[in-house]
Amino acid sequence: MAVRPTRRRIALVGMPNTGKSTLFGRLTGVRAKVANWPGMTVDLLSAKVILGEQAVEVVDLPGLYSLHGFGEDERVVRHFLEQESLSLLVVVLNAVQIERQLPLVLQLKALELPMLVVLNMADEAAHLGIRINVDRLTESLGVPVCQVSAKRGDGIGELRRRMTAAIAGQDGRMSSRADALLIEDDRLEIEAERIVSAGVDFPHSLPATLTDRIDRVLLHRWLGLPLFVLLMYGLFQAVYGIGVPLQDGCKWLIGLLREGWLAPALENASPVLRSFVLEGLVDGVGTVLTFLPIILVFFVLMAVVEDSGYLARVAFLMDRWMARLGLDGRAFVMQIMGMGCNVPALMGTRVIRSRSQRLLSLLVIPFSLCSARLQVIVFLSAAFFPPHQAPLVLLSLYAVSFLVAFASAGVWKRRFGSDEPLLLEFPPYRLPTLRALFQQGWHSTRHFLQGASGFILGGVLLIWLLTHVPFDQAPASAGTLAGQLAAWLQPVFSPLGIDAILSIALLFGFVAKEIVLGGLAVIYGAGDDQLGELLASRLDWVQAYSFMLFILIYTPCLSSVATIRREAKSLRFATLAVIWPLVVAWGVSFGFYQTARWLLG
Amino acid sequence: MTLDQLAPTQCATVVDIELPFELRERLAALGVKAGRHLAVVHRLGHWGPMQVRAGHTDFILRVREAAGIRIK
Repeated sequence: MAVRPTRRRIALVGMPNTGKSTLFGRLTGVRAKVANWPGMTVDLLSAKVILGEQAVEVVDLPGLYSLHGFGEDERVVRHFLEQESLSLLVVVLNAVQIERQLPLVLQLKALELPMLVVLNMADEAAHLGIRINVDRLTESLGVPVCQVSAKRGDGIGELRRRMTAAIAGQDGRMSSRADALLIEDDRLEIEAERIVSAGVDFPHSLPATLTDRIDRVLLHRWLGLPLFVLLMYGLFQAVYGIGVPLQDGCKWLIGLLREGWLAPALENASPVLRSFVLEGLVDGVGTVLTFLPIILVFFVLMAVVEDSGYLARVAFLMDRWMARLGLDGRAFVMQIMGMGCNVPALMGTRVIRSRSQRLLSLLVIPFSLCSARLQVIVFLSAAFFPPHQAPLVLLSLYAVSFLVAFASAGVWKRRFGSDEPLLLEFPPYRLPTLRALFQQGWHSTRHFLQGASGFILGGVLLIWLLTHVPFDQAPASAGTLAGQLAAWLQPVFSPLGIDAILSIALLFGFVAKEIVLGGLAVIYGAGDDQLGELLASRLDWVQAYSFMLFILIYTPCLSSVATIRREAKSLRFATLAVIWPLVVAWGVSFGFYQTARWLLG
Repeated sequence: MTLDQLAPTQCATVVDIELPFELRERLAALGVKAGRHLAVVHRLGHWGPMQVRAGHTDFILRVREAAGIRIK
């Protein structure tokens, strides 16, 4: 990290699932990826904050259970604390679990850095009847303690004042005591128990919480999995129920812009410029933009699922099945997270400790039907299937996505699988705040746009060039560059029923799947409205479904490949992660297309 | 007896943990060590994973690991 040595630096540290990232967001306004799921902070996030009159750097460290642990996260934190100097260490605890988390505070205290203890989720603790005597705790720990609820924003002002006061009297930053990491845990254990018994009142028996009552149904031996499928089905129904009317509005607006304003304005422009703006820019990028509302709704609803704590239950329900594939329940959860975007799901595999199991997860996550592929599939299923069949087509592709992932895991488990023990903390159910939901939805959508906009724009323009150069040829005809390229690809794609010119869009989809739809619009020289009809007149449903299967399965996008390469630290593995899906995609599309043709005569 | 033999809603006290060192450390961080009380909240059939409560912390583990935790 490149930081000027004089700047004050504060680190947030604590166990997984203590709301550290939420607190980081409250303090800095930067929204880290937060989920009610242990181990979500996988990178060191840092942001600048003004405290008092000083600019301070705040770093969010990954969650760790103990300074003496062996996990990757624990190594990262230990390394950070050993190497970096700090002005203040803010230790975040889940107030409900204070009893179990105090030994970590004592381990950290031994580093002899200026320290502040934050009891987060104070509202949940109070609700459970846990009474914490903050003054007594402050006294026994010898460190200032304050209570907050990062989710609701309670106590944040006071925390900022304490932080400002803590760094005010210092000249710079301090390094931790190197030998502190060697202190025996047993001694800390006894001290922690003494402090807890003096300062915390636990109720005699825990009330049967709402979480327990919900779990009785959602974790039911026979009902659990069907309920999960039903919930996911409901989620996708909601995405379309809310998203499609919004999408129609978007289409209308873009149509208005194109026909009412741009087309008349370009009436006297050269045909090339006119085609470039209307058929390249507006049709290409506009078609992608109309899907933004669906993506936004999708991300907001996924955020509800992630924040609720339900994903840990899904891991529990699926573990037995995943274990047979050399994976565990967490891998299934990554597969679901991958439905938003594969990249964060790929990074989330860092919670898996065994390297070989992590590699297997990295290999199968890209089969998860991400939101970029979703656009193409939603578009094509609406163009080729009647409205009552389209959702079923989509559902079938989700099923294929899971089947291909599981089958791949089955094939590669001898090479990569492991039977690493599963030990996963189970959070209570939590309702996300509206603020957090919209932040998350907005953040993900913006991320989607920022990540994709350069690719989409560049890809769409390149496709426009390929399909229009030389300019004396009819667009996308055999004489254009695209036509020549397509003829070259023809032997590979014709057994799949994929039209020569469609294969051009696939070629660009390798960079980012978001380009495929915009690319199609440019290739066929049609905006969102006519594109569906045009495609439907050129292809039949068997070809369209074969194309969708190929889009779903083939090579992960460039960002995913880069992430896989970085996470696996192996170019060979990244190459496998590109080639394997390509082979599977070809095989599945070929199998489907040839069988369907044979059955339908 | 061992933890894997415990039925849902039953409680027990940990006597000893016969598991690899790293796993023992991780269990300790979740509040599982000799002398502590545990309760099984849910389990998925006889072979499925179990949800266990130690104090105010819930976690899940597989039957194979649960068999390494001796209880009374």
